[in-house]
Amino acid sequence: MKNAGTITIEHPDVGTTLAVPVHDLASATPADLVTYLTRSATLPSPDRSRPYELFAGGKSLAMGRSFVENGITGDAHVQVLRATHGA
Amino acid sequence: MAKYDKVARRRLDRLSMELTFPNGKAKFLDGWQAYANESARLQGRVAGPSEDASVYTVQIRQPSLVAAGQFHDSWVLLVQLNHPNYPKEIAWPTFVSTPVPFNPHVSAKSGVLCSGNLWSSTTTLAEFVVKVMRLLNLDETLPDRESGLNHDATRYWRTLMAGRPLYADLRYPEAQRPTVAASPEPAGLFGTVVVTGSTGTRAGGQK
Repeated sequence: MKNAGTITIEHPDVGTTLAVPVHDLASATPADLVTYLTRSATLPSPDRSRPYELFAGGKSLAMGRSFVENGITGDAHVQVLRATHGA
Repeated sequence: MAKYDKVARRRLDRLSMELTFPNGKAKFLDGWQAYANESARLQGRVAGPSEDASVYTVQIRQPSLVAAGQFHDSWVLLVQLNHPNYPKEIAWPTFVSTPVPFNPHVSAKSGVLCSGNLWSSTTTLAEFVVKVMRLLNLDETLPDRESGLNHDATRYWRTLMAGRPLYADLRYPEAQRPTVAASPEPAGLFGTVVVTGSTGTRAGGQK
């Protein structure tokens, strides 16, 4: 069964919030989301030395694991930050 | 903030202008131009659609005061999105046409507009322009003391106009926020992205 939800992404540097409907939270990963948003130029592309990190409820999300595996099963608010050190 | 982030934010501001004032025209607006920088503006080199633009001129056509009881209806506002703290701050916008508005927020000498409450990191350029239209109509809350850049204008607004707008029934353009097409979409996982401010977030529709 698919879990759908809307992920709102706060980007403090750019000063905007993005609302992204996710059709299947059990399949989509934070990495997929970053790829989607950077390909559509909604977010600036991350560089290799400063990849994006996503946080929800003060907890860093595992980029390669699904949102459900990260404990997100419905609407959620996420902060996007850039790491200060290399990947 | 990384320079690249500012480019992305300026792109959002330009999109907001294109959405709100398509073809450069709208109610109270004769047109607007985007320039890469101030030097390009002075040389009349308009920025192409995909070029990063940090300087805008906006031609507003709306009646407002130029002195006590005297009206004018054509203004050119210069807005620069190149402040070191952009998008949290912008350089003070300036009316570069003459005469300049007789307005509590506008310097009679320089045409500088005190935009302190009009801009924030989540304000788009189109929203800012609409706020300037309201300001030109004195459609705002009367301050409790003589303040701003033109105390004579504040005093006139308070004493002769009782803090009321010039035209109470003006309807301003509605600023549009950009939405971003859902393409390319990896594995059909996501729907249309909606760009909002940092508060008052609204969800995008499912595809």
